[in-house]
Amino acid sequence: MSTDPNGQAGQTPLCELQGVTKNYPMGDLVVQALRGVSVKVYAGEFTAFAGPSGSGKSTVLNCIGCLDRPTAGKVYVEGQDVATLSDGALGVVRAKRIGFIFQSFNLIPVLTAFENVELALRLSGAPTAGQKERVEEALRSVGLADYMKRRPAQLSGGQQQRVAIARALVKTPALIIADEPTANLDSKNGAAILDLMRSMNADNGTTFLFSTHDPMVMERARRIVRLSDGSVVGDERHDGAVQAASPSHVGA
Amino acid sequence: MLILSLALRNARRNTLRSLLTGGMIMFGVALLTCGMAWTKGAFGGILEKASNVMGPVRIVMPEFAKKEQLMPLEDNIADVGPILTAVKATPGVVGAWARIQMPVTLTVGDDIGEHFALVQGADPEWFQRAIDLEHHVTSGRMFKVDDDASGQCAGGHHGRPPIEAVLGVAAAEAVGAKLGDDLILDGQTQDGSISAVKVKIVGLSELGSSAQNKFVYVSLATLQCMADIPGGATEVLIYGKTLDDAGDVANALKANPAMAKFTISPWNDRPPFNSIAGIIGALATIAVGVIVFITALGVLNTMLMSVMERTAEIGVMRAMGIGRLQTVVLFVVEAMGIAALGGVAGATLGAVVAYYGLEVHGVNLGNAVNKMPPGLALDAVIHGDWEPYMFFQAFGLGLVMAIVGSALPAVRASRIEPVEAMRSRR
Repeated sequence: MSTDPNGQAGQTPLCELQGVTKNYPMGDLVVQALRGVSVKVYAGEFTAFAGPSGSGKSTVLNCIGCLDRPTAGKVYVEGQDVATLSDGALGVVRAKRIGFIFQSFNLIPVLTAFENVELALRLSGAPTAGQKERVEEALRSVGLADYMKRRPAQLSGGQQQRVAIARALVKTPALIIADEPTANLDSKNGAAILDLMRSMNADNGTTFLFSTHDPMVMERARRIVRLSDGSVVGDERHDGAVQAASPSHVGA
Repeated sequence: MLILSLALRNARRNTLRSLLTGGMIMFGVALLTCGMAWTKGAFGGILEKASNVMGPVRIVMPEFAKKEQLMPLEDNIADVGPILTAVKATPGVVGAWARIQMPVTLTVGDDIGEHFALVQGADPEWFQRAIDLEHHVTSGRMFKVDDDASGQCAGGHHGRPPIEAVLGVAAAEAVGAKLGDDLILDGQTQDGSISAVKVKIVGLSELGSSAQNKFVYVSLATLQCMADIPGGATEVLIYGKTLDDAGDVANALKANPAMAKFTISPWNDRPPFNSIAGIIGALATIAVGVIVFITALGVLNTMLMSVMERTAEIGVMRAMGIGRLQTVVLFVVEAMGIAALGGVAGATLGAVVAYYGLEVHGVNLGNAVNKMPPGLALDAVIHGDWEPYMFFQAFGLGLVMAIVGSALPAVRASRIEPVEAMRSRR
């Protein structure tokens, strides 16, 4: 049994972790980052994975985002067990189906805002025809129509994160993974960015998964999966209803 | 194209580091250009001069070829006239001359000489072609040939004009001879009998190496008489349009049945050329390899730093789906972009130094040339020879330096895992 507070019976999860364990060797020691985590995420969710540092929230997102492989367990994205895919195939999944937003924005400094977004679209293998229009539309949707030719150093932190959102959105991915997207922003910009993502979720049904310990993010999340020491310890909806994780998922 | 554009823009990111990398490539390429010009000029010049003296193609008797270091007079071509006629009729041949070369002792006055020297006997035309002797006669004049060859041994007697010779300045100093003196050459005939000829010194010559300045230069007829080889010679030296034609000329001569009993060889099949060419080639290859390696090490160092600094960025691109091969291309193209600028600058700098410094001005080797073998006639001032193709060759090697130097960092970058993007929290 996995945590499934939405209980969307009959619907196939967009992504699912089944008993995922992740160990990291550190010298002679082995650090257990995840201890049998199971969780289902459905299309259209706006979900935050919350917990203190070292709780495993980023590791969960790494596994869902095909950035890392679990030591044990299964990871399904759109019904496909990605843990068994080759590096090349994982790259294709990432390029086409998953968008990323990073805490430090991580834009390519020598490319303009337009080119940063364009690079992501090109790597996704999208048809050349209409690429320019798609990039412009993505930047317009995050309110940067007038900043397309600027380089990251010429943009504020909030604007850079907007470019990162446009970069993630432009290829119309199945889900967007945002790793502490507001951590490097002031509260005003952070709130604006979250509202932008929330409206995209509401308007377009784009699925967002966050890792965070920012209360502002958790306030806006419609679902919060809480982790501690590599285990799911809580899974609650936006209205605050908490569904305790089954014992098998609470620690090892 | 965006990947290539990104690579080239990355080259401009850290200006100081790119300048450092480009500077290393510039230095390496300039060094290569100068090295190529020097090798072509110095060694090419040596080979050309030496092969001119020793004959681009040479005909000798087989026994002579086996022991030519001993200059065996008995293994001579008895009648060179028909041979020269046949050789001159061969396609590609622009000149052919007979020559005798033998060791002698030199005597001035009544004492028996104690000073050894080499005497060369050939047509003045050959001396002109091979060593430009007339222009190297620093006092006096070039020797003249008595038209009556039968009297060469008896010159100066019975009312005949004296036999004339040009003497190298070092030999003249050794025996205390001066212009106008009579000089006795003590040698032997082809059957080993003692033979002596008295010549008048009409000119003193000074060539580039002291070895050549110990030579005595006389007509072929004089040595034919002295060695008792009437109408014959020990060698026939043959010239084509260029040195490169030597192989073809030699093959054409070998195809002539009348030449079957002789040993015919192009210059590069004879010692010391057959070993020198290989040594020069090996040295040049080693020098190029060392320069490329050292420069590539510099490129490797700076590119590795670049990869380490951009770990997060590479991780982001890997997360977005960029492949390992594309990552390799990204860094190799970046290095090649820097190398292109450094290469053009280096090839230009190298061309200027090679042309004005080495080719026009030259390098004075001083006494070092005197340690060369007598056959390798060298001037003390060695000139480089810069050719336009060297610009492109050195530039190409600059790109090779970049590829070699950036390969390891590029592969290392391609191994960065996408998860590094998530770890890049500042």
